[in-house]
Amino acid sequence: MSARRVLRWAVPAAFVAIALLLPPLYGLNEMVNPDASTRFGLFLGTEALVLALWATSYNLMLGYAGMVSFAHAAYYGIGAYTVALLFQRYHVPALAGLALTPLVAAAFGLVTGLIALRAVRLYFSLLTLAISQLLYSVAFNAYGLTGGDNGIHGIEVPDALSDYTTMYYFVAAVVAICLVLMFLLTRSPFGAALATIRENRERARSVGINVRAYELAVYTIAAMFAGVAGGLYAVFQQQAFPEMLYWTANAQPVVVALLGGIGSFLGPALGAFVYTYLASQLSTRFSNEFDVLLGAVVLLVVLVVPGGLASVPRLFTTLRSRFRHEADMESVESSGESIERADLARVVRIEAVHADPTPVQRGEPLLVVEGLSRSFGGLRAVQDVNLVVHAGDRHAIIGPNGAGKSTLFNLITGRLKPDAGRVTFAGHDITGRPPHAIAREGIGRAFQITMIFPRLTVLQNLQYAMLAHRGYTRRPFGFADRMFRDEAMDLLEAVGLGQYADLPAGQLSHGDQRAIELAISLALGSRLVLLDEPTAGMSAFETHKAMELVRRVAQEKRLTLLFCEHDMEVVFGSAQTVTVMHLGRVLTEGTPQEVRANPEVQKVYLGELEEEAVV
Amino acid sequence: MSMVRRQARWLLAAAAALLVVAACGGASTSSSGTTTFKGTKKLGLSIAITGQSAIYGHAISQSVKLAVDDVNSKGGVAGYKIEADILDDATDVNKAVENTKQLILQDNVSVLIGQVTSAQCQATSPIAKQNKVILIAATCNSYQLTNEPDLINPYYVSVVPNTYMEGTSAGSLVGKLPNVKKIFIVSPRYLFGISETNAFVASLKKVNPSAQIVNPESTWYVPFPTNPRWDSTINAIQSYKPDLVYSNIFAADQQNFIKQALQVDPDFFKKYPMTTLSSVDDLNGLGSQYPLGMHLYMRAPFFALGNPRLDAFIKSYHDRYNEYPSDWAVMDYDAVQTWAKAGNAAGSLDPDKVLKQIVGKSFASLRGYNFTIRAGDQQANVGETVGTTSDSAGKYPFPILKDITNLKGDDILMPTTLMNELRAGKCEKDNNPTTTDFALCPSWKA
Amino acid sequence: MNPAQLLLFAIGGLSIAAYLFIVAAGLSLVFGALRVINMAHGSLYMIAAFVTVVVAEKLGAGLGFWTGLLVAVAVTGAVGALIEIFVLRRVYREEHLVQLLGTYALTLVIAGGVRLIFGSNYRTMRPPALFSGSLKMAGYSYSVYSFFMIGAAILIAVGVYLMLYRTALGRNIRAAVSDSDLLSASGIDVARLFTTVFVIGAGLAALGGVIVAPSQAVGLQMDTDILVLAFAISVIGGLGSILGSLVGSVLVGEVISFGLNSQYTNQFALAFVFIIMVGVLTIRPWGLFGAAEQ
Repeated sequence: MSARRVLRWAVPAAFVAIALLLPPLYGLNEMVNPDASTRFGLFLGTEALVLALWATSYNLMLGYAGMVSFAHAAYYGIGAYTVALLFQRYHVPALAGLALTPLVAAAFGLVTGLIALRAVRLYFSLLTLAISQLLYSVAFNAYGLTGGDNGIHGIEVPDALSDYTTMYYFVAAVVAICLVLMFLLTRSPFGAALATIRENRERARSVGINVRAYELAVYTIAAMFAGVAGGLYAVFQQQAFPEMLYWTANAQPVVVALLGGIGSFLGPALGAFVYTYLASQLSTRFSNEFDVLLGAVVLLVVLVVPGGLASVPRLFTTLRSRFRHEADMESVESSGESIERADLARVVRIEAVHADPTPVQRGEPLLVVEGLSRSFGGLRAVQDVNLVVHAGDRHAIIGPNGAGKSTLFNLITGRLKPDAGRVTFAGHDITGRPPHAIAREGIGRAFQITMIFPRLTVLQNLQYAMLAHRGYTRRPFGFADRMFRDEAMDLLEAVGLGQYADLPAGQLSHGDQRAIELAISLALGSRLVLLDEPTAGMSAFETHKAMELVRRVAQEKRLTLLFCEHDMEVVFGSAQTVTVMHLGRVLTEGTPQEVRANPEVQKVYLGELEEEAVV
Repeated sequence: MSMVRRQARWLLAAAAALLVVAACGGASTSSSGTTTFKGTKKLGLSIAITGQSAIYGHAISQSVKLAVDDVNSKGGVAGYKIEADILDDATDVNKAVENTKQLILQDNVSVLIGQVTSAQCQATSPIAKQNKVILIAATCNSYQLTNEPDLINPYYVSVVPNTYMEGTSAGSLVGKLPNVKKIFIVSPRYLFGISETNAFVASLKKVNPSAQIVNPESTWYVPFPTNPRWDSTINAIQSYKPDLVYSNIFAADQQNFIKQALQVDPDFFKKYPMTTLSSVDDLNGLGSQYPLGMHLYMRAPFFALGNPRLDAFIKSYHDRYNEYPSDWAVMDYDAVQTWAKAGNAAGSLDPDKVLKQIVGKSFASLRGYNFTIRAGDQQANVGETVGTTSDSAGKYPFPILKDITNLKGDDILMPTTLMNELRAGKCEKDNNPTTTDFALCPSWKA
Repeated sequence: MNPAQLLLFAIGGLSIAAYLFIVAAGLSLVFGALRVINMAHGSLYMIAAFVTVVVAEKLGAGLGFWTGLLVAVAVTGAVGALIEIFVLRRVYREEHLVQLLGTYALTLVIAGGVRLIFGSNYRTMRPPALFSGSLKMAGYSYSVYSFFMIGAAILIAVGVYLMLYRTALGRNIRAAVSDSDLLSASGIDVARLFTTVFVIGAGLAALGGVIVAPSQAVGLQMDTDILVLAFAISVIGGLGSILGSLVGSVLVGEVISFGLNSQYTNQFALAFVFIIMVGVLTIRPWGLFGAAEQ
């Protein structure tokens, strides 16, 4: 095993060992150092465990799905209040209340998540802030219900748990179970879907992932675990109070997660322990300056070491290899010539690249567009467009800039909703349906700008795309990285990317990224593939190779291609039917020869050529 | 320099800095006592040195330090030298809980002095009870802390007049005022405010059934502890035009409210006279700005309680701190002395033994009389002072009271029958689970 | 409620809206032009308030207020410039989370610093003699200072409008708000523009702090208390829109003023503000006057 892998496992193993052995370690310490207080140390340890669970649940959303929520503390508080209120009003034992916290917190998470997820990105974050403040004001103001700003105190726990050591192990057990469950989730196909959403939402949609549904799912699950953490808090601290729900309370799990490293699963837990002990030490000695110190540390981490503590091992190995003048693993660049190495025959043979069976005969209309229109304000981007793409055809759409090609593609794939008109695919009406549903119907898309999942490895890019397209991502169990591995590797080798399989896709050169893009499109096995300027940014040789590849595959596998292009050579070399667009309307349609000879087309393009000549 | 190198440098610097920090704080701070002491034990105080009640916490921590020094100069407690372990809780409930756990679990204190707000005491009392540490309250004073069945704590002792005593005396005093029919209430929304206001209203209604509270109950209470703006209360008072304003807002809230009201109308308190809880700290805080002619009720104002022990205390406090001791300083001093006397009588610091020397016993107070800690709610029969603010004619930098009445503890103490009913849970509950209202008890209703 | 009472609470609401608007306008401007959410905006407001109070303590109410105004705006502007240059510039291209965390860390540092320098007790100051005193209208008393606050807010609103629509700088700012990519192509020194805008935003936060200082107690919770409301107002009015901040502030100020007084809404006055915020974000996320973005 390489040194790197050893380190990767050593840190979590050491961490788990220390956490398990904390009480005996403290006991030993007390024998040596009679002034030391085991009780207090265990108390801190229990605090750290609860914080670890809370921070890890936050990281499910943050590190794995890329969502920044201000409402997470609210679910933590709700968990605590569940235990507290049940105890105070109905004398329900604290542990029974704890068992109910996942349900209650998940319910709140689901309902508020439905509201919050109506917005995206920044507005989503602001919405969670507003929701959190609403929940806080209920906890704070409803004196009769929640004890108001006094909170609820004096929750009783079973006698067995009144010993600090027993409480520590009890909390550790619950936290461990929750962490294992969350870990399995992140490694499952469901977790793979989250990763794709985080890396590139648009791309995730186009491989068939209903982004909003997954975000709601992870939001609810994270809220559930936060609720358990809150319940544990109430059990071990025997209190609940409204400030737990205030929006700034979210800072704690976020800072802790950041400190430990949001990119790794155990990062937040590690950060929780370090933070708790460090904070305890610093706040007693420097109670005045504590806030400043904490802020300075966070600033440092954010600006300088965004990977947190978990990235430290990697940092050291990188340093070491630097000193030894070894090649720096971090910045390998690929040569960008993968397409040249592509083995066409092999690609064609690969099982992964098979078209979904569709009951449409070759030559029959596969995609029918009728009267499609879309305007942006006063600009009519697409006007009353009619188009028929026949099964097995290679159909190109050309036109000068601003002709409406990209808008048309967006309308077909569901990224935009049309103002008028109809789109039918294989007999089904797909007008205005969401992108992921259209992807599932069998329409695939390769984008004009490279849309890959940059921090996932090249192999994962393909694997996860396959998982998503074939509907496996709904499973919260199983190991995503082991599924479709061979098929994906096969395809990668065939397109010449095999040697880069384990590299983060974002580090590859542009040309190679285009190759990944193409590979994903092919891997999805869509019946109709939309290629948006597929050869943009490629050299002449690459272009030639790429289009050869595409043509051969399409032919062998009976794919239908619809592509828009600028490069006339490509169009006339590869297309069987050409549609010309101008100012949002269809100008004419026919074989490449017919179109080339058409005087109107020449006028439109000549005008453009003249402009180019002058410049 | 490459990104990696820069990162590494920063990390090493941060690690080094942290190591230095940890090392510097290394040595333990226990000081060895003189040879006449058996050792050192700690007295724990988590108090609001910062935050909303900072002016109180300031006086309290000073007084506790003075009291501990006095105790040590007389031989300590049960042969031990006492050290005051004082932590700041910023008037925050959660911080008070953390501090209390630290004081008990890490610092192994032998006794705790209570915090400022009843919310804090409500949260820390269960911890003291669980760990069997005596908690002597000298500031927080809600009667629920000693009589609410869920909150009863055998290790909790109070040397401060509780909200029943204060609220009912204020209520009966206001009820007896002629020409006061319409009353506006402003009170902080937490255990103390609700407890004392309920006591006020219950007693007012008994003495003067025709008195009317002009603002609806949900508007009696203002957010606590942060409420920097008082426009809405000021405007509401103007809108309702009451004969009298009753308030138990305190510390920074009281100061801010008075200042802002005077800005709106310099004659505000002439038009709408106020009866309010106050303390020497509050008077001192506003100084000459404190309105004259206000009816105050105070817990231990030194200028109203003149007696030789108090005069000596004032002198030594003023010599040491160049300030006048506030009500809190007086009562917290009493608290420390009570524990010291009991500890010496018991010859031990064991909480159960010390408790036996507190409950049912009498102690001399700086307030000029002896008080007894009665069995049951372990409340001292301490008195309350009422009067009207007037100019001190240059004697002090703040106004003092005229027309002073020092209410006697026994007159205002909660009757034992009522106390027993509350503790036994025999009183009706309204929909509020955390504050039993004594007005719903059988013996009050009779 | 009779008309005189209505007026009483309406003007109360306007004086709250006054300082809320000044602060929210700064937050909104910075977001519109820089696309950065500055969590430390409330901290800048707090610094200015403390500086003003301390200067007034030393120099007396009259001279102290005006001197305090200058000093506070200068100090806060300087802090703002430092923040933009040393922190924000490194996170412009990063994800929102990094920006939020970076500016959040700043709030901790600033709050701790303020506590260390100024102490943690509430401080108060009197308004300058010019705006002291009280005014009687329709049987109720008003503080003259609350009218000053309203007047100052109107002046500042006009000033910001003039700056945005009548100066070259304003034109550049509006260009940045509508399309920042185009900006760098047009030859403007984008880095300096961004710093300038941020300093203006900090200056507005500072003005808010200066103006509010004589009317309430200045304490350490000021930064978080105002930030939540400023967010709410910016969202309701529309991030990047000054008119939106104006309308939003008046709405929020009146909700608070009337809400706190009625027995039915007393406990939930602030909650109303958040309900409105939720409503706006779900139905029209870019706010009442903001520009829809993809």
